[in-house]
Amino acid sequence: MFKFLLIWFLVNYSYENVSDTYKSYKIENSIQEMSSFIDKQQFREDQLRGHCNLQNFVMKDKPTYYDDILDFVIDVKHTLITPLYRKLIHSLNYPELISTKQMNATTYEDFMNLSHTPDNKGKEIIYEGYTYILLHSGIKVDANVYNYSNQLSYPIPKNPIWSIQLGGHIVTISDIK
Amino acid sequence: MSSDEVLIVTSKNELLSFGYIYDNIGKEVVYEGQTYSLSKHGIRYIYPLLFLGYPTQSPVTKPRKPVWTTKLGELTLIISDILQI
Repeated sequence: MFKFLLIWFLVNYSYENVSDTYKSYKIENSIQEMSSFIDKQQFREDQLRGHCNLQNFVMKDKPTYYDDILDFVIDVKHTLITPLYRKLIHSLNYPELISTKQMNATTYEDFMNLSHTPDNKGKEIIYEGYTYILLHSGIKVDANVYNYSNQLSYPIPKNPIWSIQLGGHIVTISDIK
Repeated sequence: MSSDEVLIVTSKNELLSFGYIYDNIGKEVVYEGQTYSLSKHGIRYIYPLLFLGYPTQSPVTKPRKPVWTTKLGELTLIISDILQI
């Protein structure tokens, strides 16, 4: 009798176990659903890219906590250097905030890297004793392109443009070798 | 002027005039102590002549500034424009 009950219990338990596993595989396959969802989203994004003619547009990364703090500091600085607050600071006898507009490059690579940074536009770069003003930053073609494999688009490389004072005139430089 | 000769100019106008002559490509000119070599000649804008060509196909000159090269220390600079202060 005991053996019969034990066998009955084991068979019943095994059947329910197999049945539940099959149901979960058939109905609640989360990995397959997620994969299908991602495929659909990618297809939708491709359609939108094609329709809106986005070309080289690259999505910006979500700002991090550090970026938020940096933006806040820049905003505060911008507020402080406006004429009204500048007068206020002057009357309070606080030192004025001064942004760095000069950079020193020790090597040619360093100089070119500074010249390819968009944030340095309008700034002065001192290299080998000469002061170059960066009029337009250059664009390098990097291997890192953030797009889909079937929509690779590389930026067009561009040399930086500097201006430099030579004697009594200013020359515009389109390339340095 | 042969290709071995070096011209010394005293004004910017002289320098620019030198830069607009096709034959001066590769020649050197000294201006304010700095030696410039002409790598690409400039093209001046010419007003389109009346009644030249068809109304929809009249030729237009595309002006451009001369391109110079000069040495500054060990660097070779490609100059696309010269402005007077």
